[in-house]
Amino acid sequence: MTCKQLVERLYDFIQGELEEELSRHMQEHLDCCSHCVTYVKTYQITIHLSRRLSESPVPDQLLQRLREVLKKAENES
Amino acid sequence: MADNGQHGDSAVLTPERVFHDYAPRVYNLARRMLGNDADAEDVTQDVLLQVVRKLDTFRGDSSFPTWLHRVTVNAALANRKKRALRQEREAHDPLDHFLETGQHSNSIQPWSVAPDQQALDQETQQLIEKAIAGLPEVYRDVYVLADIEALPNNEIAELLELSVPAVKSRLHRARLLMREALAPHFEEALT
Repeated sequence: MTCKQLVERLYDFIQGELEEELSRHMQEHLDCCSHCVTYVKTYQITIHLSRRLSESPVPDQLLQRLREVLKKAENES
Repeated sequence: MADNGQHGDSAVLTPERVFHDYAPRVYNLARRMLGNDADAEDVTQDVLLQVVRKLDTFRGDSSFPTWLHRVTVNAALANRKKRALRQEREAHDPLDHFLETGQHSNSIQPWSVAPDQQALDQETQQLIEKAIAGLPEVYRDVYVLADIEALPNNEIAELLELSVPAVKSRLHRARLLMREALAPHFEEALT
């Protein structure tokens, strides 16, 4: 297995969705390729960081605009 | 945008509750999908108006958060179609960075970020937001819904009218592009 082939199948590997034999080949490659070990770690960190994103506050001008629009909609209903 | 149950699904939805509880969620999902504050504001207004007009339908209905996701995604996609003059960004292939022999063409450096880091500092938050905004739209939609909104692949497939394998393929490409966009910053931080 090459580094490129490992990266191509990384999604399934991380998800645990690879067939057993292919998964074993990937693990064997990782046992002897430090670049791919780092690549897999940084791929996982990327996912982890995105899941830690916090919500940005709604801009004040939009809040004001929404209040006006919602009030108008309520009055119409 | 999953309902955390903080207010209870049985709580009556009022325009005020929708405004306070859901405007930030709708705004952030739209902003990340569109990569543009002004368009996200328009979409947020459209969605909240639709919500208020249909509130009677959802009084005490636990399907409200699911419906809100659908309305927001559809509004964002519709908004995007209106921007006819916007040039589509060319997506380069992250799998190009390999030698003919299949080995990495560059040295892969470790990152200075702790794998288990819980809270993000402002700089890291902005870096990730910028990287998301830089994703080609075809990948950004899937990435936002999967890795930020934490929706399962089958729901994303339904929302975006894709097959589940297509969702997985796009998500993988998106993650590779995100990793590539973030790598220079975190690698540089080591030195």
